[in-house]
Amino acid sequence: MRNSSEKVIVVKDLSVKFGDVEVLKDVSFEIPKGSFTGIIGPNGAGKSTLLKAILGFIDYEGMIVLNGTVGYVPQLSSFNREFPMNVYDFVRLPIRKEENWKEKVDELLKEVGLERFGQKLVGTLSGGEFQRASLARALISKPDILILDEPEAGIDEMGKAKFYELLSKLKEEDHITILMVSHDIGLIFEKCDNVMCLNKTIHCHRPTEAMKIEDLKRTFGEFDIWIRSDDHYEVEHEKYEHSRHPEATNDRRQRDGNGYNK
Amino acid sequence: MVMGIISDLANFEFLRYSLIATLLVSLSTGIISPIIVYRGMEFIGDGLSHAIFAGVAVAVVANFNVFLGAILATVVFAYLIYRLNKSQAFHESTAIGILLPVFMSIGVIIFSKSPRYTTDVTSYLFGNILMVVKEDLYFLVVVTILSAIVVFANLYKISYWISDEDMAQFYGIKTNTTKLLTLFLTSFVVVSALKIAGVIVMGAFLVLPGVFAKISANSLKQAIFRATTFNIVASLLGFLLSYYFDLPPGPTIVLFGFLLLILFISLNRKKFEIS
Repeated sequence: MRNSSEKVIVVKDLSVKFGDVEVLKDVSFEIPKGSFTGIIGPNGAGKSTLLKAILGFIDYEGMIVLNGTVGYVPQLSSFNREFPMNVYDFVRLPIRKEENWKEKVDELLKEVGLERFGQKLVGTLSGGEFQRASLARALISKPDILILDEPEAGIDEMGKAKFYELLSKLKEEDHITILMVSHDIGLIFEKCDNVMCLNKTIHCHRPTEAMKIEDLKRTFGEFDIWIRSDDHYEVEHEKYEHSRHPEATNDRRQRDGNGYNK
Repeated sequence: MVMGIISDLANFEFLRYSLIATLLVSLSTGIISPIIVYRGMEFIGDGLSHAIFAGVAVAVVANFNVFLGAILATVVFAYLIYRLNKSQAFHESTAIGILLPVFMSIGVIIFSKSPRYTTDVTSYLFGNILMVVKEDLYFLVVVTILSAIVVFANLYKISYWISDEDMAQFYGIKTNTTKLLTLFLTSFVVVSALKIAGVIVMGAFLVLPGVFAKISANSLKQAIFRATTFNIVASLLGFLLSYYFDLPPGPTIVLFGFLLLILFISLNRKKFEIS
């Protein structure tokens, strides 16, 4: 692992059960200060559950230690977009009691490229704009750790590029520790220092350049994986899903007209 | 015609009281209606009204104050919704759906065993706006002021609780307290208004203005002002119509409110994509 040896997130023997279903089992890892770690894994691997446990949203067994304040960017779907709330009110949540909140919100909105969006309703923002507003909300209290749950979901390519540019800047200039769950394996390989493979338990956790195809096979299962930096990486997931539910994915491929032919 | 109602209002105390009561109920329900609609708990009015039925039954049989029975029942009902919804196990509307028939059944069973079963079902369903007494008005004034204070003092917390409960909680808003406060407030509003509005009209007072406000509001505050205005216009005009055409006031107000809503939805067709 790179960066400072100081650990800002320490997770030891973490297990989470929903009823009789074991979602996470004996998960242990440490995240060094200033690093950018990407968590990958198939659907139902427990990625979001892991984040929810770290954030204290759900009960768990084991130990989680956070050495620093946390900002959180949830999935796009977490906000009720029918509700009439403007971007100012949306972003000021962590500092709502401070008198000069407007000044700070304006500053942050400028940083994320939403400087003229303060009075706009959150429900009218595009996916990319919404995620940048969520990032502004997460950053406004100047957290030491930034946790993101699939921030790219529902955003077009342009929006994704802008968003990840912001994350890289945060890491390089502000030295924020970033922990991110994503389905976009290509982007994780491109942007993150470390990659963690999760499927109920940790299958790998190493620097990005040291990742091996075996790590992915252990996490996603024995099926054909191909990764190219200029292609759509959701392909792996599509193939993984297909290996589990061939009929359902065949139907979807036919409907969407995007069957994969190897 | 106008002089007729003015002179009747001057001469008849019961008419004055009912008009004031209608306005107060419009205000108190208008304040909480957008919260109910945005949060998707449109049937809470019906649920609480049925809880009151059980509370009244218990009070009649156990021989204690009926009003107290009604308040206790709604508070218990609101608390049970909160418990079922805690940790987001059940949505509030599901909790209401579970509890409503339970409370109604308790009321029916208790009344069936009681020789003092004298409840007027029509009055229970539609209320009796012309039977308002001074004490009802005092209670309505207190509840209306309380609603305004509680809601406006907690507007930001309530907004975030409705729009993103997890994030509100994550950044230190005590969403469980906000939820419980809102539910208790709603139960007081329903108790204070049930005698005037009845179960059916109550549903209309709590839902129609919220839906109306949702069409074009830019904030919860604006939605509350629009909902309250809608309620006042609908209930005043409905009240006048019922007076001139000798119609039952409650249902007339409901129908007038519904027509008003349809009119506004038609004017905003594009937004609703109604063809």
